[in-house]
Amino acid sequence: MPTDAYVGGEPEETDQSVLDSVPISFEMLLLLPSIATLAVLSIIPLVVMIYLSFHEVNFTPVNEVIFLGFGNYTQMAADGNFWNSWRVTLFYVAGSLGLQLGLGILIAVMLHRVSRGENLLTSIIIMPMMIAPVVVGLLWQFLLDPSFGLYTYMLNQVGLFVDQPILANSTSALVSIIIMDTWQWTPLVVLIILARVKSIPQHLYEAASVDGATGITQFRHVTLPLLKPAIAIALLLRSMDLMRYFAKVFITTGGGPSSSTKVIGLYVYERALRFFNLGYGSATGLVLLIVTILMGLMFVETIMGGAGDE
Amino acid sequence: MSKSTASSGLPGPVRRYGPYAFLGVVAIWTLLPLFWMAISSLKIRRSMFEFPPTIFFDPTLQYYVDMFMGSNPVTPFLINSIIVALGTAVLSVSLGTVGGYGLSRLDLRGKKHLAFWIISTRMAPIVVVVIPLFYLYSYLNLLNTHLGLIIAHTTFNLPFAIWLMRSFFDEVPEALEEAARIDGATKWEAFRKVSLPLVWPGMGATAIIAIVFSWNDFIFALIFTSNATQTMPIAASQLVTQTGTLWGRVMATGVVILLPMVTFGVIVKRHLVSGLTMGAVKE
Repeated sequence: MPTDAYVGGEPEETDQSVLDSVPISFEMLLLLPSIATLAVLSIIPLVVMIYLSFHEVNFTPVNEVIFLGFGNYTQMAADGNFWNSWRVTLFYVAGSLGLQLGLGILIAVMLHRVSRGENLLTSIIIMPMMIAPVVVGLLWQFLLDPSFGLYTYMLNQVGLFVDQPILANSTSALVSIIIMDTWQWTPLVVLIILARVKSIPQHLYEAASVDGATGITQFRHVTLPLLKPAIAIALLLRSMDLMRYFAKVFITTGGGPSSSTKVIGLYVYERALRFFNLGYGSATGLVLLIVTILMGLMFVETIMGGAGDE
Repeated sequence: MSKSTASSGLPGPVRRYGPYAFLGVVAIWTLLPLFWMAISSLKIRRSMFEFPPTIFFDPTLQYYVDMFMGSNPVTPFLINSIIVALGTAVLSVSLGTVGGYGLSRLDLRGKKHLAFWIISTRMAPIVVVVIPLFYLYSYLNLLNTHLGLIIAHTTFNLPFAIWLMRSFFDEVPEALEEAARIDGATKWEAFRKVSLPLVWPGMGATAIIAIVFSWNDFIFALIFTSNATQTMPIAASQLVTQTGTLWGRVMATGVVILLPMVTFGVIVKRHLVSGLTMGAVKE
Protein backbone atom coordinates (compact mmCIF):
# COMPACT_ATOMS: atom_id res chain seq x y z
CA MET A 1 0.00 0.00 0.00
CA PRO A 2 2.62 2.62 0.94
CA THR A 3 4.85 1.50 -1.95
CA ASP A 4 2.11 2.24 -4.44
CA ALA A 5 1.64 5.71 -3.10
CA TYR A 6 5.32 6.55 -3.55
CA VAL A 7 5.68 5.10 -7.01
CA GLY A 8 2.81 7.36 -7.91
CA GLY A 9 5.14 10.24 -7.16
CA GLU A 10 3.75 11.88 -4.03
CA PRO A 11 6.86 12.30 -1.95
CA GLU A 12 5.31 15.25 -0.07
CA GLU A 13 3.71 12.81 2.33
CA THR A 14 6.91 10.93 3.04
CA ASP A 15 7.72 10.52 6.69
CA GLN A 16 10.43 8.62 8.41
CA SER A 17 8.34 5.87 9.95
CA VAL A 18 6.67 4.97 6.70
CA LEU A 19 10.02 5.15 4.94
CA ASP A 20 11.51 2.49 7.15
CA SER A 21 8.85 0.01 6.14
CA VAL A 22 9.67 0.39 2.44
CA PRO A 23 12.20 -2.20 1.28
CA ILE A 24 14.16 0.18 -0.97
CA SER A 25 16.34 3.15 -0.13
CA PHE A 26 15.07 6.71 0.04
CA GLU A 27 17.28 7.68 -2.91
CA MET A 28 15.92 4.89 -5.06
CA LEU A 29 12.41 5.94 -4.11
CA LEU A 30 13.07 9.42 -5.45
CA LEU A 31 14.53 8.01 -8.62
CA LEU A 32 11.68 5.58 -9.23
CA PRO A 33 9.13 7.92 -10.80
CA SER A 34 11.73 8.98 -13.36
CA ILE A 35 12.87 5.44 -14.05
CA ALA A 36 9.28 4.32 -14.40
CA THR A 37 8.50 7.17 -16.81
CA LEU A 38 11.60 6.50 -18.89
CA ALA A 39 11.01 2.78 -18.89
CA VAL A 40 7.44 3.22 -20.05
CA LEU A 41 8.45 5.79 -22.64
CA SER A 42 11.48 3.97 -23.96
CA ILE A 43 10.99 0.25 -23.47
CA ILE A 44 7.36 0.05 -24.58
CA PRO A 45 8.01 1.97 -27.79
CA LEU A 46 11.06 -0.20 -28.44
CA VAL A 47 9.05 -3.39 -28.00
CA VAL A 48 6.28 -2.01 -30.19
CA MET A 49 8.83 -1.10 -32.81
CA ILE A 50 10.47 -4.51 -32.84
CA TYR A 51 7.01 -6.03 -33.12
CA LEU A 52 6.03 -3.73 -35.98
CA SER A 53 9.25 -4.41 -37.85
CA PHE A 54 8.14 -8.00 -38.39
CA HIS A 55 4.72 -6.97 -39.63
CA GLU A 56 2.92 -5.08 -42.31
CA VAL A 57 0.60 -2.43 -40.87
CA ASN A 58 -2.37 -1.26 -42.89
CA PHE A 59 -4.73 1.56 -42.02
CA THR A 60 -6.97 1.37 -45.08
CA PRO A 61 -9.41 -0.06 -45.84
CA VAL A 62 -9.31 -1.50 -42.31
CA ASN A 63 -6.74 -1.49 -39.52
CA GLU A 64 -4.81 -4.72 -39.81
CA VAL A 65 -1.42 -6.07 -38.88
CA ILE A 66 -0.04 -8.90 -41.01
CA PHE A 67 2.91 -11.04 -39.90
CA LEU A 68 5.75 -10.91 -42.41
CA GLY A 69 8.61 -12.59 -40.61
CA PHE A 70 11.86 -11.14 -41.90
CA GLY A 71 10.13 -9.73 -44.98
CA ASN A 72 10.86 -6.11 -44.10
CA TYR A 73 14.49 -6.92 -43.45
CA THR A 74 15.06 -8.74 -46.73
CA GLN A 75 13.32 -5.88 -48.54
CA MET A 76 15.65 -3.46 -46.77
CA ALA A 77 18.80 -5.34 -47.79
CA ALA A 78 17.78 -5.01 -51.44
CA ASP A 79 16.55 -1.41 -51.16
CA GLY A 80 18.92 0.89 -53.08
CA ASN A 81 17.31 4.01 -51.59
CA PHE A 82 17.98 2.75 -48.08
CA TRP A 83 21.68 2.28 -48.80
CA ASN A 84 21.83 5.60 -50.63
CA SER A 85 20.51 7.30 -47.49
CA TRP A 86 23.25 5.72 -45.42
CA ARG A 87 25.83 6.96 -47.90
CA VAL A 88 24.37 10.48 -47.69
CA THR A 89 24.32 10.20 -43.89
CA LEU A 90 27.97 9.16 -43.85
CA PHE A 91 28.99 12.26 -45.82
CA TYR A 92 26.67 14.49 -43.83
CA VAL A 93 27.85 13.27 -40.43
CA ALA A 94 31.54 13.00 -41.31
CA GLY A 95 31.59 16.36 -43.10
CA SER A 96 29.74 18.16 -40.31
CA LEU A 97 31.81 16.59 -37.54
CA GLY A 98 35.09 17.41 -39.28
CA LEU A 99 34.17 21.02 -39.98
CA GLN A 100 32.62 21.65 -36.58
CA LEU A 101 35.47 20.08 -34.66
CA GLY A 102 38.17 21.89 -36.63
CA LEU A 103 36.45 25.26 -36.45
CA GLY A 104 35.31 24.67 -32.88
CA ILE A 105 38.84 24.04 -31.60
CA LEU A 106 40.21 27.01 -33.53
CA ILE A 107 37.53 29.39 -32.22
CA ALA A 108 37.86 28.11 -28.65
CA VAL A 109 41.65 28.54 -28.65
CA MET A 110 41.30 32.06 -30.10
CA LEU A 111 38.63 32.96 -27.54
CA HIS A 112 40.95 31.83 -24.80
CA ARG A 113 43.70 34.10 -26.12
CA VAL A 114 41.74 37.33 -26.23
CA SER A 115 41.81 39.31 -23.02
CA ARG A 116 38.78 41.50 -23.62
CA GLY A 117 35.35 40.93 -25.16
CA GLU A 118 35.28 37.19 -24.52
CA ASN A 119 31.94 37.48 -22.78
CA LEU A 120 30.32 39.44 -25.59
CA LEU A 121 31.81 37.16 -28.24
CA THR A 122 30.52 34.01 -26.54
CA SER A 123 27.07 35.59 -26.21
CA ILE A 124 27.05 36.17 -29.97
CA ILE A 125 28.45 32.78 -30.84
CA ILE A 126 25.83 30.80 -28.88
CA MET A 127 22.86 32.46 -30.58
CA PRO A 128 22.39 30.01 -33.47
CA MET A 129 22.07 27.06 -31.08
CA MET A 130 18.94 28.51 -29.56
CA ILE A 131 17.07 28.80 -32.86
CA ALA A 132 14.40 26.36 -33.98
CA PRO A 133 15.64 24.10 -36.79
CA VAL A 134 12.64 25.07 -38.88
CA VAL A 135 13.61 28.71 -38.68
CA VAL A 136 17.25 27.91 -39.44
CA GLY A 137 16.16 25.87 -42.46
CA LEU A 138 13.84 28.56 -43.80
CA LEU A 139 16.41 31.26 -43.18
CA TRP A 140 19.12 29.42 -45.12
CA GLN A 141 16.70 28.65 -47.90
CA PHE A 142 16.07 32.39 -48.07
CA LEU A 143 19.80 33.18 -48.08
CA LEU A 144 20.49 30.63 -50.81
CA ASP A 145 17.49 31.44 -52.99
CA PRO A 146 18.61 31.57 -56.63
CA SER A 147 16.76 34.78 -57.47
CA PHE A 148 17.07 36.99 -54.38
CA GLY A 149 19.24 35.21 -51.79
CA LEU A 150 21.93 37.27 -50.10
CA TYR A 151 24.47 34.44 -50.14
CA THR A 152 23.64 33.60 -53.74
CA TYR A 153 24.37 37.23 -54.57
CA MET A 154 27.68 37.18 -52.71
CA LEU A 155 28.77 33.94 -54.36
CA ASN A 156 27.72 35.29 -57.77
CA GLN A 157 29.97 38.29 -57.21
CA VAL A 158 32.99 36.00 -57.14
CA GLY A 159 31.71 34.06 -60.13
CA LEU A 160 30.27 31.07 -58.30
CA PHE A 161 26.83 29.54 -58.91
CA VAL A 162 25.82 32.10 -61.51
CA ASP A 163 22.45 30.90 -62.86
CA GLN A 164 22.94 27.68 -60.91
CA PRO A 165 20.54 27.29 -57.99
CA ILE A 166 22.70 26.12 -55.08
CA LEU A 167 20.11 23.77 -53.58
CA ALA A 168 19.29 22.21 -56.98
CA ASN A 169 22.67 20.57 -57.45
CA SER A 170 23.42 17.29 -55.62
CA THR A 171 26.87 18.22 -54.37
CA SER A 172 26.22 21.84 -53.44
CA ALA A 173 22.94 20.89 -51.75
CA LEU A 174 24.74 18.36 -49.55
CA VAL A 175 27.50 20.86 -48.79
CA SER A 176 24.83 23.46 -47.98
CA ILE A 177 23.12 21.32 -45.36
CA ILE A 178 26.53 20.55 -43.82
CA ILE A 179 27.36 24.26 -43.67
CA MET A 180 23.93 25.06 -42.29
CA ASP A 181 24.43 22.60 -39.43
CA THR A 182 27.96 23.89 -38.93
CA TRP A 183 26.65 27.44 -38.61
CA GLN A 184 24.18 26.34 -35.97
CA TRP A 185 26.15 23.83 -33.91
CA THR A 186 29.87 24.71 -34.04
CA PRO A 187 29.12 26.94 -31.00
CA LEU A 188 28.42 23.87 -28.86
CA VAL A 189 31.81 22.42 -29.78
CA VAL A 190 33.38 25.80 -28.98
CA LEU A 191 31.80 25.90 -25.51
CA ILE A 192 32.82 22.33 -24.69
CA ILE A 193 36.41 22.82 -25.85
CA LEU A 194 36.68 26.27 -24.27
CA ALA A 195 35.68 24.95 -20.84
CA ARG A 196 38.49 22.44 -21.13
CA VAL A 197 41.07 24.86 -22.53
CA LYS A 198 40.46 27.15 -19.57
CA SER A 199 41.18 24.33 -17.14
CA ILE A 200 44.64 23.61 -18.54
CA PRO A 201 47.12 24.88 -15.92
CA GLN A 202 49.34 27.70 -17.10
CA HIS A 203 52.49 26.08 -15.75
CA LEU A 204 52.27 23.35 -18.38
CA TYR A 205 52.71 25.98 -21.06
CA GLU A 206 55.51 27.58 -19.12
CA ALA A 207 57.27 24.24 -18.82
CA ALA A 208 56.83 23.69 -22.54
CA SER A 209 58.26 27.13 -23.26
CA VAL A 210 61.31 26.34 -21.17
CA ASP A 211 61.77 23.26 -23.34
CA GLY A 212 61.63 25.50 -26.39
CA ALA A 213 58.12 24.63 -27.55
CA THR A 214 56.03 27.56 -28.74
CA GLY A 215 53.00 28.25 -30.92
CA ILE A 216 51.92 25.29 -32.97
CA THR A 217 54.30 22.81 -31.31
CA GLN A 218 52.92 23.81 -27.94
CA PHE A 219 49.40 23.38 -29.21
CA ARG A 220 50.15 19.94 -30.64
CA HIS A 221 52.02 18.55 -27.68
CA VAL A 222 50.40 20.31 -24.72
CA THR A 223 46.91 21.52 -25.60
CA LEU A 224 45.67 18.87 -28.01
CA PRO A 225 46.38 15.77 -25.88
CA LEU A 226 44.62 17.40 -22.93
CA LEU A 227 41.62 18.23 -25.09
CA LYS A 228 41.01 14.57 -25.97
CA PRO A 229 38.19 13.90 -23.47
CA ALA A 230 36.46 17.16 -24.42
CA ILE A 231 36.77 16.31 -28.11
CA ALA A 232 35.23 12.91 -27.45
CA ILE A 233 32.28 14.52 -25.65
CA ALA A 234 31.81 17.00 -28.48
CA LEU A 235 31.92 14.22 -31.06
CA LEU A 236 29.51 12.10 -29.04
CA LEU A 237 26.90 14.82 -28.67
CA ARG A 238 27.19 16.13 -32.21
CA SER A 239 27.14 12.74 -33.89
CA MET A 240 24.09 11.66 -31.89
CA ASP A 241 22.25 14.82 -32.87
CA LEU A 242 23.29 14.59 -36.51
CA MET A 243 21.84 11.09 -36.63
CA ARG A 244 18.71 12.06 -34.69
CA TYR A 245 17.51 15.27 -36.20
CA PHE A 246 16.51 15.95 -39.77
CA ALA A 247 14.15 18.93 -39.50
CA LYS A 248 16.57 21.37 -41.16
CA VAL A 249 17.08 19.06 -44.13
CA PHE A 250 13.35 18.39 -44.28
CA ILE A 251 12.67 22.12 -44.58
CA THR A 252 15.46 23.24 -46.93
CA THR A 253 15.83 20.45 -49.47
CA GLY A 254 13.24 17.86 -48.44
CA GLY A 255 15.95 15.30 -49.23
CA GLY A 256 16.40 16.41 -52.82
CA PRO A 257 17.54 16.92 -55.46
CA SER A 258 16.98 13.26 -56.35
CA SER A 259 17.61 11.99 -52.80
CA SER A 260 21.11 13.50 -52.66
CA THR A 261 20.40 14.96 -49.20
CA LYS A 262 18.00 12.30 -47.94
CA VAL A 263 19.68 11.51 -44.63
CA ILE A 264 18.63 8.27 -42.99
CA GLY A 265 16.35 9.89 -40.40
CA LEU A 266 14.39 11.58 -43.14
CA TYR A 267 14.24 8.37 -45.14
CA VAL A 268 12.82 6.42 -42.19
CA TYR A 269 10.36 9.21 -41.50
CA GLU A 270 9.10 9.16 -45.07
CA ARG A 271 8.67 5.39 -45.16
CA ALA A 272 6.88 5.23 -41.82
CA LEU A 273 4.86 8.40 -41.56
CA ARG A 274 4.50 9.84 -45.02
CA PHE A 275 3.81 6.64 -46.91
CA PHE A 276 2.46 5.07 -43.71
CA ASN A 277 4.47 1.92 -44.08
CA LEU A 278 4.93 1.53 -40.32
CA GLY A 279 6.34 -1.99 -40.59
CA TYR A 280 9.11 -1.18 -43.04
CA GLY A 281 9.71 2.15 -41.32
CA SER A 282 10.19 0.33 -38.00
CA ALA A 283 12.68 -2.11 -39.50
CA THR A 284 14.79 0.68 -41.03
CA GLY A 285 14.37 2.71 -37.83
CA LEU A 286 15.71 -0.16 -35.73
CA VAL A 287 18.83 -0.32 -37.87
CA LEU A 288 19.25 3.42 -37.39
CA LEU A 289 18.82 3.00 -33.63
CA ILE A 290 21.40 0.21 -33.46
CA VAL A 291 23.95 2.18 -35.50
CA THR A 292 23.39 5.26 -33.32
CA ILE A 293 23.85 3.27 -30.12
CA LEU A 294 27.04 1.64 -31.45
CA MET A 295 28.42 5.05 -32.40
CA GLY A 296 27.50 6.37 -28.96
CA LEU A 297 29.18 3.47 -27.20
CA MET A 298 32.29 3.96 -29.30
CA PHE A 299 32.63 7.57 -28.16
CA VAL A 300 31.67 6.78 -24.56
CA GLU A 301 34.39 4.14 -24.54
CA THR A 302 36.84 6.82 -25.69
CA ILE A 303 35.68 9.15 -22.93
CA MET A 304 35.72 6.59 -20.15
CA GLY A 305 38.84 4.75 -21.26
CA GLY A 306 40.65 7.78 -22.63
CA ALA A 307 43.27 10.13 -21.31
CA GLY A 308 41.18 11.11 -18.31
CA ASP A 309 37.75 11.68 -16.92
CA GLU A 310 35.86 14.92 -16.74
CA MET B 1 61.38 23.00 -34.85
CA SER B 2 61.00 24.97 -38.03
CA LYS B 3 57.25 25.12 -37.45
CA SER B 4 57.60 26.59 -33.99
CA THR B 5 60.01 29.27 -35.11
CA ALA B 6 57.66 30.14 -37.92
CA SER B 7 54.73 30.75 -35.57
CA SER B 8 56.68 32.43 -32.80
CA GLY B 9 58.30 34.58 -35.44
CA LEU B 10 54.97 36.22 -36.28
CA PRO B 11 55.11 39.99 -35.92
CA GLY B 12 53.71 41.28 -32.63
CA PRO B 13 50.59 43.01 -33.97
CA VAL B 14 49.52 39.82 -35.78
CA ARG B 15 49.89 37.81 -32.61
CA ARG B 16 48.02 40.36 -30.58
CA TYR B 17 45.24 41.34 -32.96
CA GLY B 18 45.05 38.17 -35.05
CA PRO B 19 42.61 36.45 -32.68
CA TYR B 20 40.37 39.54 -32.64
CA ALA B 21 40.31 39.69 -36.43
CA PHE B 22 39.52 35.99 -36.66
CA LEU B 23 36.79 36.18 -34.01
CA GLY B 24 35.38 39.26 -35.73
CA VAL B 25 34.92 37.21 -38.88
CA VAL B 26 33.31 34.44 -36.83
CA ALA B 27 30.93 36.97 -35.25
CA ILE B 28 29.94 38.34 -38.66
CA TRP B 29 29.44 34.83 -40.04
CA THR B 30 27.20 34.08 -37.06
CA LEU B 31 25.23 37.30 -37.05
CA LEU B 32 24.80 38.04 -40.75
CA PRO B 33 21.94 35.56 -41.33
CA LEU B 34 20.17 36.82 -38.20
CA PHE B 35 20.66 40.44 -39.16
CA TRP B 36 19.40 39.66 -42.66
CA MET B 37 16.36 37.93 -41.25
CA ALA B 38 15.55 40.85 -38.97
CA ILE B 39 15.78 43.48 -41.70
CA SER B 40 13.97 41.30 -44.24
CA SER B 41 11.06 41.04 -41.82
CA LEU B 42 10.77 44.83 -42.08
CA LYS B 43 10.98 45.11 -45.86
CA ILE B 44 8.03 45.75 -48.10
CA ARG B 45 7.48 43.17 -50.79
CA ARG B 46 9.23 45.13 -53.52
CA SER B 47 12.54 45.62 -51.68
CA MET B 48 12.60 42.08 -50.32
CA PHE B 49 13.12 40.52 -53.73
CA GLU B 50 15.54 43.07 -55.15
CA PHE B 51 18.72 41.66 -56.59
CA PRO B 52 21.31 42.75 -55.64
CA PRO B 53 19.79 42.75 -52.16
CA THR B 54 19.30 46.15 -50.54
CA ILE B 55 20.17 47.36 -47.10
CA PHE B 56 18.46 50.74 -47.30
CA PHE B 57 14.67 50.69 -47.51
CA ASP B 58 11.55 52.06 -45.86
CA PRO B 59 10.90 49.77 -42.91
CA THR B 60 7.39 48.47 -42.31
CA LEU B 61 5.85 46.51 -39.47
CA GLN B 62 3.19 45.18 -41.82
CA TYR B 63 4.26 41.51 -41.52
CA TYR B 64 4.12 41.64 -37.74
CA VAL B 65 0.68 43.22 -37.84
CA ASP B 66 -0.50 40.65 -40.40
CA MET B 67 0.88 37.87 -38.29
CA PHE B 68 -1.50 38.66 -35.44
CA MET B 69 -4.35 40.48 -37.19
CA GLY B 70 -4.33 39.19 -40.77
CA SER B 71 -5.52 35.90 -42.19
CA ASN B 72 -4.31 32.75 -40.42
CA PRO B 73 -3.10 34.57 -37.30
CA VAL B 74 -0.33 32.88 -35.30
CA THR B 75 -1.99 33.58 -31.96
CA PRO B 76 -3.44 30.05 -31.47
CA PHE B 77 -0.08 28.53 -32.45
CA LEU B 78 1.66 30.81 -29.98
CA ILE B 79 -0.71 29.77 -27.18
CA ASN B 80 -0.18 26.08 -28.00
CA SER B 81 3.59 26.57 -27.97
CA ILE B 82 3.45 28.25 -24.56
CA ILE B 83 1.19 25.57 -23.05
CA VAL B 84 3.35 22.72 -24.34
CA ALA B 85 6.67 24.34 -23.42
CA LEU B 86 5.53 25.15 -19.88
CA GLY B 87 3.95 21.73 -19.40
CA THR B 88 7.13 20.04 -20.57
CA ALA B 89 9.27 22.23 -18.32
CA VAL B 90 7.16 21.56 -15.21
CA LEU B 91 7.09 17.81 -15.82
CA SER B 92 10.78 17.54 -16.73
CA VAL B 93 12.03 19.74 -13.89
CA SER B 94 9.93 18.17 -11.14
CA LEU B 95 10.72 14.59 -12.12
CA GLY B 96 14.29 15.54 -13.01
CA THR B 97 14.98 17.30 -9.72
CA VAL B 98 13.69 14.48 -7.55
CA GLY B 99 15.29 11.86 -9.79
CA GLY B 100 18.54 13.76 -10.12
CA TYR B 101 18.80 14.01 -6.34
CA GLY B 102 18.16 10.30 -6.04
CA LEU B 103 20.80 9.51 -8.63
CA SER B 104 23.29 11.84 -7.00
CA ARG B 105 22.92 10.35 -3.52
CA LEU B 106 22.26 6.78 -4.54
CA ASP B 107 24.77 4.29 -3.24
CA LEU B 108 24.50 1.35 -5.55
CA ARG B 109 26.77 -0.93 -7.48
CA GLY B 110 26.13 -0.45 -11.16
CA LYS B 111 25.04 3.15 -10.64
CA LYS B 112 27.13 4.07 -13.66
CA HIS B 113 25.14 1.65 -15.79
CA LEU B 114 21.88 3.01 -14.47
CA ALA B 115 23.02 6.55 -15.28
CA PHE B 116 24.08 5.50 -18.74
CA TRP B 117 20.79 3.75 -19.37
CA ILE B 118 18.96 6.93 -18.37
CA ILE B 119 20.92 9.04 -20.80
CA SER B 120 20.82 6.44 -23.55
CA THR B 121 17.04 6.84 -23.71
CA ARG B 122 17.73 10.30 -25.04
CA MET B 123 20.08 9.14 -27.75
CA ALA B 124 17.39 7.43 -29.75
CA PRO B 125 16.78 9.07 -33.12
CA ILE B 126 13.60 11.14 -33.01
CA VAL B 127 12.00 9.16 -35.77
CA VAL B 128 12.64 5.93 -33.85
CA VAL B 129 10.70 7.31 -30.88
CA VAL B 130 8.02 8.78 -33.05
CA ILE B 131 6.94 5.66 -34.97
CA PRO B 132 5.87 3.51 -32.01
CA LEU B 133 4.52 6.52 -30.10
CA PHE B 134 2.37 7.38 -33.07
CA TYR B 135 1.05 3.84 -33.08
CA LEU B 136 0.40 3.91 -29.31
CA TYR B 137 -1.10 7.41 -29.36
CA SER B 138 -3.58 6.41 -32.03
CA TYR B 139 -4.95 3.82 -29.59
CA LEU B 140 -4.76 6.03 -26.51
CA ASN B 141 -6.41 8.99 -28.24
CA LEU B 142 -3.41 11.16 -27.49
CA LEU B 143 -2.90 12.35 -31.04
CA ASN B 144 -3.71 16.01 -31.45
CA THR B 145 -3.68 16.75 -27.71
CA HIS B 146 -1.44 19.05 -25.71
CA LEU B 147 -0.79 16.22 -23.27
CA GLY B 148 0.44 13.91 -26.01
CA LEU B 149 2.96 16.46 -27.20
CA ILE B 150 4.03 17.28 -23.64
CA ILE B 151 4.67 13.58 -22.94
CA ALA B 152 6.63 13.22 -26.18
CA HIS B 153 8.78 16.24 -25.37
CA THR B 154 9.31 14.98 -21.84
CA THR B 155 10.75 11.70 -23.14
CA PHE B 156 13.52 13.77 -24.65
CA ASN B 157 13.94 16.25 -21.81
CA LEU B 158 13.74 14.05 -18.73
CA PRO B 159 17.02 12.12 -19.17
CA PHE B 160 19.08 15.26 -19.49
CA ALA B 161 17.08 16.96 -16.73
CA ILE B 162 18.04 14.08 -14.41
CA TRP B 163 21.70 14.24 -15.43
CA LEU B 164 21.84 17.97 -15.18
CA MET B 165 20.15 18.12 -11.77
CA ARG B 166 22.39 15.31 -10.57
CA SER B 167 25.43 17.36 -11.52
CA PHE B 168 24.06 20.26 -9.47
CA PHE B 169 23.26 18.07 -6.46
CA ASP B 170 26.73 16.49 -6.69
CA GLU B 171 28.10 19.91 -5.83
CA VAL B 172 26.05 20.23 -2.65
CA PRO B 173 28.20 18.78 0.16
CA GLU B 174 26.53 15.83 1.82
CA ALA B 175 27.89 17.09 5.12
CA LEU B 176 25.23 19.81 5.08
CA GLU B 177 22.49 17.18 4.94
CA GLU B 178 24.16 15.07 7.60
CA ALA B 179 24.26 18.07 9.91
CA ALA B 180 20.52 18.55 9.42
CA ARG B 181 19.91 14.86 10.02
CA ILE B 182 21.77 15.04 13.33
CA ASP B 183 19.43 17.87 14.27
CA GLY B 184 16.55 15.48 13.74
CA ALA B 185 15.50 16.15 10.15
CA THR B 186 14.20 13.27 8.07
CA LYS B 187 15.92 12.40 4.79
CA TRP B 188 13.07 14.06 2.96
CA GLU B 189 13.43 17.22 5.04
CA ALA B 190 17.19 17.23 4.48
CA PHE B 191 16.53 17.10 0.76
CA ARG B 192 13.66 19.56 0.80
CA LYS B 193 15.02 22.14 3.22
CA VAL B 194 18.81 21.87 2.86
CA SER B 195 19.75 20.77 -0.63
CA LEU B 196 16.83 21.90 -2.74
CA PRO B 197 17.16 25.62 -1.93
CA LEU B 198 20.79 25.44 -3.04
CA VAL B 199 20.00 24.21 -6.54
CA TRP B 200 17.40 26.78 -7.58
CA PRO B 201 19.68 28.19 -10.29
CA GLY B 202 20.14 24.67 -11.62
CA MET B 203 16.39 24.12 -11.73
CA GLY B 204 16.01 27.39 -13.58
CA ALA B 205 18.62 26.40 -16.14
CA THR B 206 17.04 22.97 -16.55
CA ALA B 207 13.62 24.55 -17.04
CA ILE B 208 14.93 26.94 -19.65
CA ILE B 209 16.68 24.23 -21.61
CA ALA B 210 13.51 22.12 -21.50
CA ILE B 211 11.50 25.10 -22.73
CA VAL B 212 13.94 25.75 -25.56
CA PHE B 213 13.81 22.15 -26.73
CA SER B 214 10.04 22.00 -26.59
CA TRP B 215 9.53 25.40 -28.18
CA ASN B 216 11.90 24.60 -31.05
CA ASP B 217 10.73 21.06 -31.77
CA PHE B 218 9.33 20.45 -35.21
CA ILE B 219 9.16 16.72 -35.91
CA PHE B 220 7.10 15.68 -32.87
CA ALA B 221 4.74 18.57 -33.45
CA LEU B 222 4.48 17.72 -37.12
CA ILE B 223 3.44 14.16 -36.42
CA PHE B 224 1.43 14.39 -33.21
CA THR B 225 -0.61 17.54 -33.75
CA SER B 226 -3.16 18.85 -36.15
CA ASN B 227 -5.17 22.09 -36.37
CA ALA B 228 -6.09 22.56 -32.72
CA THR B 229 -2.69 21.89 -31.13
CA GLN B 230 -0.10 22.99 -33.66
CA THR B 231 2.87 24.98 -32.40
CA MET B 232 4.87 27.91 -33.78
CA PRO B 233 7.40 25.95 -35.87
CA ILE B 234 4.45 24.36 -37.68
CA ALA B 235 3.01 27.83 -38.30
CA ALA B 236 6.32 28.86 -39.86
CA SER B 237 6.52 25.77 -42.06
CA GLN B 238 2.96 26.30 -43.28
CA LEU B 239 3.96 29.60 -44.83
CA VAL B 240 5.75 27.59 -47.51
CA THR B 241 2.85 26.93 -49.86
CA GLN B 242 2.26 25.40 -53.26
CA THR B 243 1.86 28.85 -54.74
CA GLY B 244 5.05 30.24 -53.23
CA THR B 245 6.57 31.15 -49.90
CA LEU B 246 5.33 34.18 -47.97
CA TRP B 247 8.85 35.29 -47.15
CA GLY B 248 7.89 38.43 -45.27
CA ARG B 249 5.68 36.47 -42.90
CA VAL B 250 8.29 33.70 -42.65
CA MET B 251 10.96 36.16 -41.54
CA ALA B 252 8.66 37.92 -39.06
CA THR B 253 7.45 34.59 -37.64
CA GLY B 254 11.06 33.45 -37.42
CA VAL B 255 11.98 36.53 -35.41
CA VAL B 256 9.07 35.90 -33.00
CA ILE B 257 10.15 32.26 -32.57
CA LEU B 258 13.84 32.93 -32.02
CA LEU B 259 13.87 36.13 -30.00
CA PRO B 260 12.69 34.72 -26.65
CA MET B 261 14.93 31.66 -27.00
CA VAL B 262 18.04 33.65 -27.89
CA THR B 263 17.32 35.88 -24.90
CA PHE B 264 17.02 32.82 -22.64
CA GLY B 265 20.25 31.47 -24.09
CA VAL B 266 22.17 34.60 -23.26
CA ILE B 267 20.67 34.68 -19.73
CA VAL B 268 21.61 31.09 -18.88
CA LYS B 269 24.83 31.15 -20.89
CA ARG B 270 26.83 30.07 -17.89
CA HIS B 271 24.75 26.93 -17.44
CA LEU B 272 24.33 26.26 -21.12
CA VAL B 273 27.43 24.13 -21.55
CA SER B 274 26.70 21.91 -18.60
CA GLY B 275 23.07 21.82 -19.70
CA LEU B 276 23.65 20.89 -23.30
CA THR B 277 26.35 18.42 -22.40
CA MET B 278 24.18 17.03 -19.61
CA GLY B 279 26.71 17.99 -16.98
CA ALA B 280 29.65 16.33 -18.72
CA VAL B 281 31.38 19.70 -18.98
CA LYS B 282 31.46 22.22 -16.16
CA GLU B 283 32.19 25.91 -16.58
